Amino acid sequence: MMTYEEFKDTVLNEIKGFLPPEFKDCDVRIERVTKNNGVTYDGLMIDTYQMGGQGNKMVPNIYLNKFYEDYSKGLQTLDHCLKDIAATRVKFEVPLNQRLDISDIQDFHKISGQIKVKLVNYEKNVEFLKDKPHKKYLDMAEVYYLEVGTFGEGMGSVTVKNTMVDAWMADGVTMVNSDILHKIAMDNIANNQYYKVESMQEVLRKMMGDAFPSDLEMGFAMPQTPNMYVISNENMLFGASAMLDENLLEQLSEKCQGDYFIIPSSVHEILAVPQMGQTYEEMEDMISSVNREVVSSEEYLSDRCYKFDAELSRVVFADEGIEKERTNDKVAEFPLSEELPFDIDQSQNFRQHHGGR
Amino acid sequence: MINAITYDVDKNAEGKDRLKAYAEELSKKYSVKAKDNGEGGKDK
Repeated sequence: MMTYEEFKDTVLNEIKGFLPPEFKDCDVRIERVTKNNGVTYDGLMIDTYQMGGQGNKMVPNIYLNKFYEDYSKGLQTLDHCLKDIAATRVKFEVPLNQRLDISDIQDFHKISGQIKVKLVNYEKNVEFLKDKPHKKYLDMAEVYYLEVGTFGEGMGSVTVKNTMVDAWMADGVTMVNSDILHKIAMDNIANNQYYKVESMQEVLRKMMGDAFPSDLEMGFAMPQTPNMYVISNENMLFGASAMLDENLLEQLSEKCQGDYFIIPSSVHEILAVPQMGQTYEEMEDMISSVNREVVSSEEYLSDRCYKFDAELSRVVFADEGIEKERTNDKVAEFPLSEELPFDIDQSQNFRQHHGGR
Repeated sequence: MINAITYDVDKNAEGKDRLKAYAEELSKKYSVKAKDNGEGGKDK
């Protein structure tokens, strides 16, 4: 059994022998790639640009870690891994007629219609965000990307970096910043009916088919179970940014009869569920538990619960307002701070002792 | 000057498991709340 380092060296040295003839003069290298939430992979880059200028400067990252995992568990032989990696590289090549090249990407007017937005956790991506234009949103950040093609269930995308923005501005575009990118991305979404709202039951049925479990069926059928909605885009990739589409969320508030909870299920989708007496603490306990047990590090979005406030017509943290109410209670119940007969900690003990909140 | 651009190919890898976990948890929560409020009670 090879170590991971030996595996990487072998791939680097032998992969050309598994690629079709048109790749014979390609350049092969491995670079460390930081993905969402600080997750890092070793990306194999098989670059056809070196081939007499005929190739493409756009190169897909193929992550070797996942192939090694299969190899080290004995699920795949080394030969199978090399064949799979080569097949993946061929599959991930953007067809010539759909291909963006560097000159397209440097032309802001040409590609601005393809700018889209995704949401990531802010705290976990401080490093990742350093070289990218971004905009803080609640405990998350908006990041912008260009879609370069779809490959089966996968989507190829290039994240917008500061170097791209610099190139756009050097090319004569007066100003590009995160506010402008936000506006363009939201316009692109509005023009394309980008997001969709589906019932949880419908989505799970599509995903699970005949494997849809009977206990889940019973859960949905119970009269006390309200409609729960999954909001994402057609590909269900980076669709959590639907949280930025206030028109869509406003329409949903009619279905949910007012305010509703928004669960950050992952970077790919959010869930909307009616408020039926659950506290935000209960909801956040559930969210962090599902995140811990089921959500991959790379797809994690947040442990917070949000609320669509129908009156304000915007998304807020689910505890917003509650904390204010609690503070107001204290003010109403006690004299001004300098006149308090005891400090706040003692007052909380006092309330607990006397049955207060 | 940009010389080369790499792109990532992402998949929604575990969507089914996440949504199933939330569907189960939320159904439980609504059922408990309905019981607290004296409604429903059909669940086992």
